[in-house]
Amino acid sequence: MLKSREGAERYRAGRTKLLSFIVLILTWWIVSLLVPSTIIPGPWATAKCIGKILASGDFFFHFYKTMVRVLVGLACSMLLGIIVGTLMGLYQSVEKALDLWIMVGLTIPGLVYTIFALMWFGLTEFAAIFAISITTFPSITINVWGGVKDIDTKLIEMSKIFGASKKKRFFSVVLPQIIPYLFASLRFGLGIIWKVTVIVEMLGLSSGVGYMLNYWFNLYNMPQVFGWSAIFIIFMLFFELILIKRLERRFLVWRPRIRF
Amino acid sequence: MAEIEIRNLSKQFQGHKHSSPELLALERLNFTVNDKEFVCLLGPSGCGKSTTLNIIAGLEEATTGEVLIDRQVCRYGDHGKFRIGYVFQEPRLLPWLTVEKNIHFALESQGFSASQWETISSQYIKMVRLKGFEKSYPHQLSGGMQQRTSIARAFSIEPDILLMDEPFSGLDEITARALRQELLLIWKQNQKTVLFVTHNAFEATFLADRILIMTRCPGRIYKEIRVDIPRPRDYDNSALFEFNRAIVKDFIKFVCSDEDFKNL
Repeated sequence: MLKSREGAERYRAGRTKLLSFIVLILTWWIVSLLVPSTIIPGPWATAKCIGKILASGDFFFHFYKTMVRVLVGLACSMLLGIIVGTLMGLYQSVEKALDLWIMVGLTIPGLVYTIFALMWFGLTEFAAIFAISITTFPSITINVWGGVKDIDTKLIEMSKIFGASKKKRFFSVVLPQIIPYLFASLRFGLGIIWKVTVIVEMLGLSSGVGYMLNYWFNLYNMPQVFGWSAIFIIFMLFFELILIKRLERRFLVWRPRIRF
Repeated sequence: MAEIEIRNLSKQFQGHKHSSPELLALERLNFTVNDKEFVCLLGPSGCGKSTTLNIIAGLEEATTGEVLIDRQVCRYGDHGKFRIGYVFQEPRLLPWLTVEKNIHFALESQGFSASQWETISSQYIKMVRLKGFEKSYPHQLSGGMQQRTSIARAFSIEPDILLMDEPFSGLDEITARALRQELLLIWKQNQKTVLFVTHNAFEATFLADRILIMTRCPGRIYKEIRVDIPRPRDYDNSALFEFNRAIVKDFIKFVCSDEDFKNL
Protein backbone atom coordinates (compact mmCIF):
# COMPACT_ATOMS: atom_id res chain seq x y z
CA MET A 1 0.00 0.00 0.00
CA LEU A 2 2.88 2.32 0.71
CA LYS A 3 4.34 1.72 -2.75
CA SER A 4 1.47 2.59 -5.08
CA ARG A 5 0.62 5.83 -3.30
CA GLU A 6 4.28 6.70 -3.45
CA GLY A 7 4.38 5.99 -7.18
CA ALA A 8 1.51 8.39 -7.86
CA GLU A 9 3.17 11.07 -5.74
CA ARG A 10 6.46 10.71 -7.55
CA TYR A 11 4.71 11.10 -10.88
CA ARG A 12 3.06 14.29 -9.70
CA ALA A 13 6.33 15.59 -8.26
CA GLY A 14 8.09 14.85 -11.55
CA ARG A 15 5.41 16.68 -13.49
CA THR A 16 5.69 19.73 -11.22
CA LYS A 17 9.44 19.79 -11.60
CA LEU A 18 9.19 19.58 -15.38
CA LEU A 19 6.68 22.42 -15.42
CA SER A 20 8.90 24.64 -13.27
CA PHE A 21 11.84 23.84 -15.51
CA ILE A 22 9.92 24.92 -18.60
CA VAL A 23 8.85 28.14 -16.90
CA LEU A 24 12.47 28.81 -16.01
CA ILE A 25 13.66 28.38 -19.61
CA LEU A 26 10.88 30.60 -20.90
CA THR A 27 11.73 33.34 -18.41
CA TRP A 28 15.39 33.11 -19.36
CA TRP A 29 14.52 33.37 -23.03
CA ILE A 30 12.35 36.44 -22.49
CA VAL A 31 15.02 38.18 -20.42
CA SER A 32 17.67 37.38 -23.01
CA LEU A 33 15.56 39.10 -25.67
CA LEU A 34 15.48 42.28 -23.61
CA VAL A 35 19.15 42.33 -22.65
CA PRO A 36 22.15 42.42 -25.04
CA SER A 37 23.39 38.93 -25.85
CA THR A 38 26.89 39.77 -24.73
CA ILE A 39 25.59 40.00 -21.16
CA ILE A 40 22.93 37.32 -21.13
CA PRO A 41 22.98 34.89 -24.01
CA GLY A 42 19.68 33.16 -24.75
CA PRO A 43 18.89 29.48 -24.24
CA TRP A 44 19.47 28.61 -27.87
CA ALA A 45 22.90 30.28 -28.06
CA THR A 46 23.86 28.55 -24.84
CA ALA A 47 22.65 25.19 -26.13
CA LYS A 48 24.77 25.60 -29.26
CA CYS A 49 27.75 26.37 -27.03
CA ILE A 50 27.09 23.34 -24.90
CA GLY A 51 27.21 21.27 -28.06
CA LYS A 52 30.57 22.81 -28.95
CA ILE A 53 31.94 22.21 -25.46
CA LEU A 54 30.89 18.57 -25.38
CA ALA A 55 32.27 17.96 -28.85
CA SER A 56 35.70 19.23 -27.87
CA GLY A 57 37.91 16.72 -26.10
CA ASP A 58 38.67 19.25 -23.37
CA PHE A 59 35.38 18.95 -21.62
CA PHE A 60 35.71 15.48 -20.17
CA PHE A 61 39.20 16.17 -18.94
CA HIS A 62 38.23 19.28 -16.98
CA PHE A 63 34.99 17.77 -15.76
CA TYR A 64 36.75 14.67 -14.54
CA LYS A 65 39.31 16.77 -12.64
CA THR A 66 36.60 18.77 -10.91
CA MET A 67 34.58 15.67 -10.07
CA VAL A 68 37.52 13.95 -8.43
CA ARG A 69 38.19 16.99 -6.26
CA VAL A 70 34.53 17.30 -5.32
CA LEU A 71 34.04 13.64 -4.45
CA VAL A 72 37.27 13.22 -2.52
CA GLY A 73 36.65 16.51 -0.68
CA LEU A 74 33.11 15.43 0.09
CA ALA A 75 34.20 12.04 1.39
CA CYS A 76 36.87 13.56 3.64
CA SER A 77 34.70 16.28 5.08
CA MET A 78 31.71 13.94 5.61
CA LEU A 79 33.82 11.31 7.35
CA LEU A 80 35.55 13.85 9.57
CA GLY A 81 32.32 15.73 10.20
CA ILE A 82 30.42 12.59 11.22
CA ILE A 83 33.16 11.45 13.59
CA VAL A 84 33.65 14.82 15.29
CA GLY A 85 29.93 15.69 15.28
CA THR A 86 29.03 12.36 16.87
CA LEU A 87 31.70 12.66 19.54
CA MET A 88 30.51 16.16 20.34
CA GLY A 89 26.93 14.98 20.57
CA LEU A 90 27.62 11.95 22.76
CA TYR A 91 30.25 13.32 25.11
CA GLN A 92 29.93 16.64 26.88
CA SER A 93 33.67 16.92 27.42
CA VAL A 94 34.33 16.83 23.69
CA GLU A 95 31.53 19.28 23.06
CA LYS A 96 32.90 21.80 25.54
CA ALA A 97 36.39 21.48 24.11
CA LEU A 98 35.46 21.92 20.47
CA ASP A 99 32.30 23.98 20.13
CA LEU A 100 34.05 27.34 19.97
CA TRP A 101 36.63 26.16 17.45
CA ILE A 102 34.03 24.68 15.14
CA MET A 103 32.18 27.99 15.12
CA VAL A 104 35.39 29.81 14.32
CA GLY A 105 36.11 27.32 11.56
CA LEU A 106 32.67 27.92 10.14
CA THR A 107 33.06 31.68 9.88
CA ILE A 108 36.42 31.68 8.12
CA PRO A 109 35.70 32.20 4.42
CA GLY A 110 36.57 29.42 1.98
CA LEU A 111 38.78 31.91 0.19
CA VAL A 112 41.02 32.25 3.24
CA TYR A 113 41.42 28.46 3.57
CA THR A 114 42.19 28.31 -0.14
CA ILE A 115 44.90 30.95 0.05
CA PHE A 116 46.53 29.33 3.05
CA ALA A 117 46.37 25.88 1.48
CA LEU A 118 47.93 27.10 -1.75
CA MET A 119 50.64 28.89 0.19
CA TRP A 120 51.48 25.93 2.41
CA PHE A 121 51.10 23.09 -0.09
CA GLY A 122 51.72 24.82 -3.36
CA LEU A 123 49.51 24.72 -6.44
CA THR A 124 48.76 21.03 -5.94
CA GLU A 125 45.77 18.72 -5.93
CA PHE A 126 46.39 18.10 -2.26
CA ALA A 127 46.09 21.79 -1.50
CA ALA A 128 42.83 21.93 -3.41
CA ILE A 129 41.29 18.95 -1.63
CA PHE A 130 42.56 20.18 1.71
CA ALA A 131 40.94 23.58 1.23
CA ILE A 132 37.69 22.04 0.03
CA SER A 133 37.48 19.62 2.94
CA ILE A 134 38.35 22.16 5.64
CA THR A 135 35.81 24.65 4.35
CA THR A 136 32.95 22.16 4.36
CA PHE A 137 33.81 20.17 7.48
CA PRO A 138 32.45 22.64 10.13
CA SER A 139 28.95 22.77 8.60
CA ILE A 140 28.70 19.00 8.48
CA THR A 141 29.98 18.72 12.04
CA ILE A 142 27.40 21.18 13.36
CA ASN A 143 24.61 19.37 11.52
CA VAL A 144 25.60 15.94 12.85
CA TRP A 145 26.22 17.34 16.33
CA GLY A 146 22.70 18.73 16.45
CA GLY A 147 21.32 15.47 15.15
CA VAL A 148 23.06 13.34 17.75
CA LYS A 149 21.88 15.57 20.59
CA ASP A 150 18.36 15.19 19.28
CA ILE A 151 18.22 11.43 19.57
CA ASP A 152 15.66 9.69 21.72
CA THR A 153 17.41 8.73 24.96
CA LYS A 154 14.52 6.40 25.80
CA LEU A 155 15.51 4.18 22.91
CA ILE A 156 19.11 4.16 24.14
CA GLU A 157 17.87 3.11 27.60
CA MET A 158 15.80 0.35 26.07
CA SER A 159 18.74 -0.97 24.10
CA LYS A 160 20.97 -0.88 27.19
CA ILE A 161 18.48 -2.92 29.20
CA PHE A 162 18.18 -5.49 26.43
CA GLY A 163 21.94 -5.90 26.57
CA ALA A 164 23.08 -4.26 23.35
CA SER A 165 26.83 -3.59 23.25
CA LYS A 166 28.13 -0.04 22.83
CA LYS A 167 28.95 -0.77 19.20
CA LYS A 168 25.48 -2.12 18.55
CA ARG A 169 23.92 0.85 20.32
CA PHE A 170 25.82 3.21 18.04
CA PHE A 171 25.15 1.46 14.72
CA SER A 172 21.61 0.25 15.40
CA VAL A 173 20.14 2.99 17.57
CA VAL A 174 22.13 6.23 17.18
CA LEU A 175 23.04 6.07 13.49
CA PRO A 176 19.55 5.42 12.12
CA GLN A 177 18.31 8.47 14.01
CA ILE A 178 20.91 10.76 12.52
CA ILE A 179 20.41 9.63 8.93
CA PRO A 180 18.06 12.52 8.13
CA TYR A 181 20.75 14.87 9.41
CA LEU A 182 23.34 13.08 7.31
CA PHE A 183 21.30 13.65 4.18
CA ALA A 184 20.89 17.30 5.10
CA SER A 185 24.64 17.62 5.65
CA LEU A 186 25.29 15.79 2.38
CA ARG A 187 23.20 18.24 0.39
CA PHE A 188 24.47 21.26 2.26
CA GLY A 189 28.05 20.04 2.05
CA LEU A 190 27.75 19.38 -1.67
CA GLY A 191 26.47 22.90 -2.21
CA ILE A 192 29.42 24.39 -0.38
CA ILE A 193 31.89 22.09 -2.09
CA TRP A 194 30.84 22.98 -5.62
CA LYS A 195 31.29 26.65 -4.76
CA VAL A 196 34.65 26.24 -3.06
CA THR A 197 36.02 23.92 -5.74
CA VAL A 198 35.32 26.48 -8.42
CA ILE A 199 37.04 29.17 -6.35
CA VAL A 200 40.07 26.99 -5.70
CA GLU A 201 40.34 26.14 -9.38
CA MET A 202 40.05 29.79 -10.35
CA LEU A 203 42.73 30.83 -7.92
CA GLY A 204 45.46 28.32 -8.19
CA LEU A 205 44.96 25.42 -10.54
CA SER A 206 45.16 24.87 -14.24
CA SER A 207 42.33 22.43 -14.80
CA GLY A 208 38.73 21.91 -13.90
CA VAL A 209 35.40 23.54 -14.54
CA GLY A 210 36.21 26.54 -12.33
CA TYR A 211 39.41 27.12 -14.26
CA MET A 212 37.50 27.06 -17.55
CA LEU A 213 34.85 29.42 -16.23
CA ASN A 214 37.57 31.88 -15.24
CA TYR A 215 39.34 31.45 -18.58
CA TRP A 216 36.26 32.23 -20.65
CA PHE A 217 35.20 35.03 -18.34
CA ASN A 218 38.56 36.72 -18.88
CA LEU A 219 37.92 36.53 -22.61
CA TYR A 220 34.46 37.93 -21.97
CA ASN A 221 32.86 35.03 -23.81
CA MET A 222 29.55 34.84 -21.98
CA PRO A 223 28.02 32.01 -24.07
CA GLN A 224 30.92 29.80 -23.02
CA VAL A 225 30.54 30.85 -19.38
CA PHE A 226 26.83 30.11 -19.53
CA GLY A 227 27.50 26.87 -21.35
CA TRP A 228 29.95 25.55 -18.77
CA SER A 229 27.70 26.69 -15.91
CA ALA A 230 24.70 25.00 -17.47
CA ILE A 231 26.49 21.67 -17.81
CA PHE A 232 27.64 21.99 -14.23
CA ILE A 233 24.10 22.64 -13.01
CA ILE A 234 22.63 19.82 -15.06
CA PHE A 235 25.11 17.40 -13.62
CA MET A 236 24.36 18.55 -10.08
CA LEU A 237 20.63 18.04 -10.65
CA PHE A 238 21.36 14.61 -12.05
CA PHE A 239 23.36 13.76 -8.96
CA GLU A 240 20.60 14.92 -6.66
CA LEU A 241 17.70 13.25 -8.44
CA ILE A 242 19.24 9.95 -9.41
CA LEU A 243 21.56 9.33 -6.51
CA ILE A 244 20.65 11.24 -3.40
CA LYS A 245 16.88 11.11 -3.66
CA ARG A 246 16.97 7.38 -4.33
CA LEU A 247 19.21 6.69 -1.34
CA GLU A 248 17.06 8.88 0.87
CA ARG A 249 13.88 7.09 -0.11
CA ARG A 250 15.41 3.74 0.67
CA PHE A 251 16.72 4.80 4.07
CA LEU A 252 13.69 6.74 5.24
CA VAL A 253 10.85 4.49 4.07
CA TRP A 254 9.81 3.97 7.69
CA ARG A 255 9.06 7.61 8.39
CA PRO A 256 5.42 8.60 8.84
CA ARG A 257 4.29 11.56 6.76
CA ILE A 258 3.64 14.85 8.45
CA ARG A 259 0.10 16.11 8.01
CA PHE A 260 0.41 19.60 9.30
CA MET B 1 15.72 -20.07 40.22
CA ALA B 2 15.22 -16.49 39.16
CA GLU B 3 14.19 -14.65 42.23
CA ILE B 4 14.68 -10.98 42.90
CA GLU B 5 15.82 -9.88 46.31
CA ILE B 6 16.02 -6.27 47.36
CA ARG B 7 18.03 -5.58 50.49
CA ASN B 8 18.10 -2.25 52.27
CA LEU B 9 17.82 -0.34 49.02
CA SER B 10 18.08 3.41 49.33
CA LYS B 11 18.29 6.05 46.64
CA GLN B 12 19.20 9.62 47.30
CA PHE B 13 19.04 12.02 44.38
CA GLN B 14 21.67 14.73 44.61
CA GLY B 15 20.30 18.19 44.13
CA HIS B 16 21.32 20.04 41.00
CA LYS B 17 21.76 23.77 41.31
CA HIS B 18 19.15 24.79 38.79
CA SER B 19 16.92 21.79 38.41
CA SER B 20 16.00 18.93 40.70
CA PRO B 21 16.02 19.31 44.47
CA GLU B 22 17.77 16.87 46.76
CA LEU B 23 15.45 13.97 47.26
CA LEU B 24 15.44 10.77 49.26
CA ALA B 25 13.49 8.70 46.76
CA LEU B 26 13.78 5.28 48.40
CA GLU B 27 14.53 4.40 51.98
CA ARG B 28 15.65 0.97 53.10
CA LEU B 29 13.49 -1.02 50.72
CA ASN B 30 13.35 -4.72 51.51
CA PHE B 31 11.39 -7.27 49.59
CA THR B 32 11.65 -10.47 47.61
CA VAL B 33 9.98 -11.69 44.48
CA ASN B 34 10.01 -15.46 44.44
CA ASP B 35 10.74 -17.56 41.41
CA LYS B 36 7.89 -17.49 38.89
CA GLU B 37 5.85 -15.22 41.13
CA PHE B 38 3.83 -12.27 39.82
CA VAL B 39 4.32 -9.36 42.18
CA CYS B 40 2.86 -5.88 41.79
CA LEU B 41 4.45 -2.80 43.19
CA LEU B 42 1.48 -0.54 43.86
CA GLY B 43 1.87 3.09 44.72
CA PRO B 44 0.97 6.65 43.78
CA SER B 45 2.91 8.62 41.20
CA GLY B 46 6.28 9.75 42.38
CA CYS B 47 6.76 7.14 45.08
CA GLY B 48 9.84 5.67 43.52
CA LYS B 49 8.41 2.59 41.79
CA SER B 50 10.08 3.35 38.47
CA THR B 51 13.33 4.21 40.24
CA THR B 52 13.24 0.79 41.88
CA LEU B 53 12.81 -0.91 38.50
CA ASN B 54 15.60 1.17 36.98
CA ILE B 55 17.95 0.15 39.76
CA ILE B 56 17.09 -3.53 39.28
CA ALA B 57 17.66 -3.18 35.53
CA GLY B 58 21.05 -1.64 36.17
CA LEU B 59 20.15 1.74 34.68
CA GLU B 60 20.50 3.69 37.90
CA GLU B 61 22.81 3.33 40.83
CA ALA B 62 21.50 2.71 44.33
CA THR B 63 22.91 4.89 47.08
CA THR B 64 22.99 2.00 49.56
CA GLY B 65 21.76 -1.57 49.64
CA GLU B 66 21.84 -4.22 47.00
CA VAL B 67 19.84 -6.05 44.40
CA LEU B 68 20.23 -9.77 43.99
CA ILE B 69 18.91 -11.62 40.99
CA ASP B 70 19.12 -15.37 41.14
CA ARG B 71 21.18 -14.99 44.31
CA GLN B 72 23.83 -12.95 42.44
CA VAL B 73 24.49 -9.32 43.13
CA CYS B 74 23.43 -7.00 40.32
CA ARG B 75 25.34 -3.75 40.11
CA TYR B 76 24.95 -0.50 38.21
CA GLY B 77 26.01 -0.99 34.61
CA ASP B 78 25.60 -4.76 34.81
CA HIS B 79 22.84 -4.80 32.24
CA GLY B 80 24.28 -7.53 30.09
CA LYS B 81 24.72 -9.96 32.94
CA PHE B 82 21.14 -11.07 33.46
CA ARG B 83 18.42 -11.66 30.94
CA ILE B 84 15.98 -8.92 31.82
CA GLY B 85 12.81 -8.40 29.85
CA TYR B 86 11.47 -4.89 30.30
CA VAL B 87 8.19 -3.44 29.14
CA PHE B 88 8.01 0.34 29.41
CA GLN B 89 5.10 2.69 29.70
CA GLU B 90 5.70 3.73 26.08
CA PRO B 91 6.36 0.93 23.59
CA ARG B 92 9.93 2.18 22.87
CA LEU B 93 10.12 0.36 19.57
CA LEU B 94 12.78 1.34 17.03
CA PRO B 95 10.67 3.20 14.45
CA TRP B 96 12.86 2.29 11.49
CA LEU B 97 12.47 -1.45 12.09
CA THR B 98 9.47 -3.63 11.41
CA VAL B 99 7.70 -5.54 14.18
CA GLU B 100 9.69 -8.72 13.60
CA LYS B 101 12.98 -6.86 13.22
CA ASN B 102 12.37 -5.08 16.52
CA ILE B 103 12.21 -8.48 18.16
CA HIS B 104 15.29 -9.63 16.25
CA PHE B 105 17.11 -6.59 17.63
CA ALA B 106 16.49 -7.78 21.19
CA LEU B 107 17.43 -11.36 20.30
CA GLU B 108 20.64 -10.22 18.65
CA SER B 109 21.56 -8.03 21.62
CA GLN B 110 21.09 -11.02 23.90
CA GLY B 111 23.33 -13.20 21.80
CA PHE B 112 20.84 -15.51 20.13
CA SER B 113 22.18 -16.92 16.88
CA ALA B 114 20.70 -15.50 13.70
CA SER B 115 19.24 -18.81 12.60
CA GLN B 116 16.86 -18.79 15.55
CA TRP B 117 15.50 -15.26 15.18
CA GLU B 118 12.82 -16.00 12.62
CA THR B 119 11.33 -18.95 14.51
CA ILE B 120 11.37 -17.22 17.88
CA SER B 121 9.90 -13.94 16.66
CA SER B 122 7.07 -15.58 14.72
CA GLN B 123 6.22 -17.68 17.75
CA TYR B 124 5.88 -14.70 20.04
CA ILE B 125 4.20 -12.49 17.43
CA LYS B 126 1.57 -15.20 17.14
CA MET B 127 1.31 -15.33 20.93
CA VAL B 128 0.47 -11.63 21.22
CA ARG B 129 -2.00 -12.04 18.36
CA LEU B 130 -0.13 -9.88 15.88
CA LYS B 131 0.21 -12.50 13.18
CA GLY B 132 0.18 -10.80 9.79
CA PHE B 133 1.81 -7.62 11.11
CA GLU B 134 5.37 -8.93 11.13
CA LYS B 135 6.46 -6.53 8.40
CA SER B 136 4.57 -3.48 9.62
CA TYR B 137 6.35 -0.43 10.95
CA PRO B 138 5.47 0.89 14.42
CA HIS B 139 3.81 4.04 13.10
CA GLN B 140 1.34 1.86 11.22
CA LEU B 141 0.17 0.17 14.41
CA SER B 142 -2.20 1.34 17.13
CA GLY B 143 -0.95 2.01 20.67
CA GLY B 144 -2.26 -1.32 21.89
CA MET B 145 -0.57 -3.19 19.04
CA GLN B 146 2.71 -1.40 19.65
CA GLN B 147 2.54 -2.35 23.31
CA ARG B 148 1.82 -5.95 22.34
CA THR B 149 4.96 -5.90 20.21
CA SER B 150 6.86 -4.59 23.19
CA ILE B 151 5.51 -7.45 25.32
CA ALA B 152 6.44 -9.99 22.65
CA ARG B 153 9.94 -8.51 22.57
CA ALA B 154 10.32 -8.79 26.34
CA PHE B 155 9.15 -12.41 26.44
CA SER B 156 11.05 -13.52 23.34
CA ILE B 157 14.48 -13.30 24.95
CA GLU B 158 13.52 -15.97 27.50
CA PRO B 159 14.31 -13.57 30.34
CA ASP B 160 15.27 -14.55 33.87
CA ILE B 161 12.99 -11.81 35.16
CA LEU B 162 10.36 -9.56 33.64
CA LEU B 163 10.07 -5.94 34.71
CA MET B 164 7.01 -3.97 33.67
CA ASP B 165 6.64 -0.27 34.36
CA GLU B 166 2.97 0.72 34.11
CA PRO B 167 2.77 -0.79 30.62
CA PHE B 168 -0.96 -0.27 30.22
CA SER B 169 -1.41 3.15 31.80
CA GLY B 170 -1.00 4.91 28.48
CA LEU B 171 -3.82 2.98 26.82
CA ASP B 172 -7.57 3.32 26.89
CA GLU B 173 -9.33 1.17 29.48
CA ILE B 174 -10.82 -1.27 26.96
CA THR B 175 -7.51 -2.02 25.29
CA ALA B 176 -5.79 -2.14 28.69
CA ARG B 177 -8.32 -4.64 29.98
CA ALA B 178 -7.83 -6.89 26.97
CA LEU B 179 -4.06 -6.69 27.29
CA ARG B 180 -4.15 -7.52 31.01
CA GLN B 181 -5.99 -10.72 30.27
CA GLU B 182 -3.68 -11.53 27.37
CA LEU B 183 -0.68 -10.91 29.57
CA LEU B 184 -1.91 -13.45 32.11
CA LEU B 185 -2.55 -16.00 29.35
CA ILE B 186 0.96 -15.54 28.01
CA TRP B 187 2.42 -15.63 31.49
CA LYS B 188 0.60 -18.86 32.20
CA GLN B 189 2.38 -20.49 29.24
CA ASN B 190 5.74 -18.88 29.96
CA GLN B 191 5.90 -18.62 33.69
CA LYS B 192 8.50 -16.02 34.61
CA THR B 193 9.32 -14.00 37.68
CA VAL B 194 7.46 -10.72 37.18
CA LEU B 195 7.70 -7.39 38.95
CA PHE B 196 4.88 -5.20 37.69
CA VAL B 197 4.66 -1.55 38.68
CA THR B 198 1.32 0.25 38.69
CA HIS B 199 -0.73 2.95 40.33
CA ASN B 200 -3.96 1.15 39.51
CA ALA B 201 -5.15 -0.89 42.46
CA PHE B 202 -7.64 -2.95 40.48
CA GLU B 203 -5.00 -3.85 37.93
CA ALA B 204 -2.74 -5.00 40.75
CA THR B 205 -5.51 -7.08 42.32
CA PHE B 206 -6.35 -8.71 39.00
CA LEU B 207 -2.81 -9.54 37.99
CA ALA B 208 -0.75 -10.25 41.09
CA ASP B 209 0.01 -13.14 43.41
CA ARG B 210 1.22 -10.58 45.88
CA ILE B 211 0.91 -6.81 46.10
CA LEU B 212 3.50 -4.57 47.71
CA ILE B 213 2.05 -1.19 48.54
CA MET B 214 4.56 1.66 48.43
CA THR B 215 4.33 5.03 50.05
CA ARG B 216 6.23 7.99 48.76
CA CYS B 217 8.73 10.56 49.91
CA PRO B 218 10.58 8.57 50.86
CA GLY B 219 9.51 5.38 49.08
CA ARG B 220 8.96 2.52 51.49
CA ILE B 221 6.98 -0.69 51.47
CA TYR B 222 3.98 0.08 53.60
CA LYS B 223 2.16 -3.20 53.35
CA GLU B 224 2.33 -6.60 51.71
CA ILE B 225 -0.88 -8.27 50.64
CA ARG B 226 -1.29 -11.78 49.31
CA VAL B 227 -4.02 -12.06 46.69
CA ASP B 228 -5.57 -15.42 47.47
CA ILE B 229 -8.12 -15.44 44.68
CA PRO B 230 -7.52 -18.50 42.47
CA ARG B 231 -6.58 -18.27 38.82
CA PRO B 232 -7.87 -17.92 36.16
CA ARG B 233 -9.42 -14.74 37.50
CA ASP B 234 -12.57 -13.31 36.04
CA TYR B 235 -12.52 -9.56 35.55
CA ASP B 236 -16.07 -9.25 36.81
CA ASN B 237 -15.62 -11.57 39.77
CA SER B 238 -17.23 -10.01 42.86
CA ALA B 239 -14.64 -11.53 45.17
CA LEU B 240 -12.01 -9.66 43.22
CA PHE B 241 -14.00 -6.50 43.52
CA GLU B 242 -14.42 -6.82 47.28
CA PHE B 243 -10.76 -7.58 47.73
CA ASN B 244 -9.88 -4.54 45.75
CA ARG B 245 -12.20 -2.32 47.75
CA ALA B 246 -10.45 -3.26 50.95
CA ILE B 247 -7.08 -2.51 49.45
CA VAL B 248 -8.08 0.83 48.01
CA LYS B 249 -9.53 2.03 51.28
CA ASP B 250 -6.31 1.24 53.05
CA PHE B 251 -4.23 2.58 50.18
CA ILE B 252 -5.86 5.97 50.18
CA LYS B 253 -5.85 6.31 53.93
CA PHE B 254 -2.17 5.68 54.53
CA VAL B 255 -0.58 6.63 51.28
CA CYS B 256 -2.33 9.90 50.66
CA SER B 257 -2.24 11.09 54.23
CA ASP B 258 -3.88 14.13 55.74
CA GLU B 259 -0.49 15.78 55.46
CA ASP B 260 -0.83 15.90 51.70
CA PHE B 261 -4.15 17.68 51.96
CA LYS B 262 -3.03 20.08 54.67
CA ASN B 263 -0.27 21.37 52.46
CA LEU B 264 -2.57 22.21 49.57
